[in-house]
Amino acid sequence: MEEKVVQEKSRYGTGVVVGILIGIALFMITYWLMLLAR
Amino acid sequence: MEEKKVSRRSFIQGMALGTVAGYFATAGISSTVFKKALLPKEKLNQVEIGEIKSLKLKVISETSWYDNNVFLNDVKGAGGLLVNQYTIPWTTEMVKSGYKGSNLGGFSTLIETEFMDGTKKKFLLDSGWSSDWMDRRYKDEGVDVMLAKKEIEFLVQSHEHMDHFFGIQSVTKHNPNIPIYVPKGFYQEGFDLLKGKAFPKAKVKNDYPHKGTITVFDSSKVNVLYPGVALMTFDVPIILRVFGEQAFVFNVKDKGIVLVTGCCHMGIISYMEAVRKKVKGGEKIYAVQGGLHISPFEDWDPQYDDLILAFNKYGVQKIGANHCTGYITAEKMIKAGLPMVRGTARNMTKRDIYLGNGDELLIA
Repeated sequence: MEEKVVQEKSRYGTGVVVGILIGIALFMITYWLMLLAR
Repeated sequence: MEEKKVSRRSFIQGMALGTVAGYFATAGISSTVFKKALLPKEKLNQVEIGEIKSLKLKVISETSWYDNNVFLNDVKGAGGLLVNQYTIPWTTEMVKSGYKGSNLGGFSTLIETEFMDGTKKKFLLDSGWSSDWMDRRYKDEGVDVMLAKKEIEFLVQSHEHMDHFFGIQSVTKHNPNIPIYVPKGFYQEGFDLLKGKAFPKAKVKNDYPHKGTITVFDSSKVNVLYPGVALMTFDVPIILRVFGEQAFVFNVKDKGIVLVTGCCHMGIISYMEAVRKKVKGGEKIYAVQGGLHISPFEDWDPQYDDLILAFNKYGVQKIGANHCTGYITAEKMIKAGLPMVRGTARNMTKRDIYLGNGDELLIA
């Protein structure tokens, strides 16, 4: 029987980049909501 | 057999860190580097008040009382700072440094404006406290004759405090018909005093009832009296059961805005900010004259150091502050390099550190 070897490739860096974009978008939404509330 | 798989866990971990970092980094950059670009511009509703050619400010009296301890004991003995000023038995005898033994003095400023067409008008700011003292000062400076000849257009009462108002009979005796402008908040006792009522406990009376018009100005707008001459009223509660203060705003051609106050209980920074927002040209305050109510009892709070620093930022060219500004404040302002106008220490003004009784400030 052949042994199955699973290699996990890390996508940590990609996650950070995507996270930064999400963070910027989140801030812009909260800023816009704050301006609306004024 | 080899199988390649993407690590979801590492991706999610990276995404979580990136989200937090991205959010706070954006918040930090937008509130610092891009602050001016991103914050909505402040809406200013500025009023054009016009211009005058020149302004002469004569200190008739800035010595409201002569002994701080006697004054404070009067207030304390009556029950403290919340007591009605018309019920306090003010000390009028045996005060060594007082005028004829009385601790009472008064605040009053004579203002002469020259308009752009060359005509001149005079106004009186406040009517002092002790009638004896105000009679003497008005006689010394010729204000009694000006009042009798109706050369003074109107009297502005900055606020109802005793040292700015209880000497009213020294004005009405010469011109009972003089128009009087009061700020909203004047109490019934104030109107009664104008009409001739006496308040024996506070040793104040008016033997010359006022017969002219009384106009009450409120804080809803900048009140333009003449081109270049305006009054601003502030809804401010003041000690000794007083409410409301108003102050002058002048716009002198080629110089800028000049603020003239009685006591400035609204706070000088608040006043300058209000002028900046509501008066066209209010960003350039050329001069400030009158009481600024910072250390009237010669005490100092560290918060006033911040006030001096803030004052510096307005670029005021002449500070003719006196009266309730306090000597300590004047010393600190001079030390901070602020342009205090010195006086001559005459007519019972104790020090020349600022404009005193009989001193003049000309802005032309």
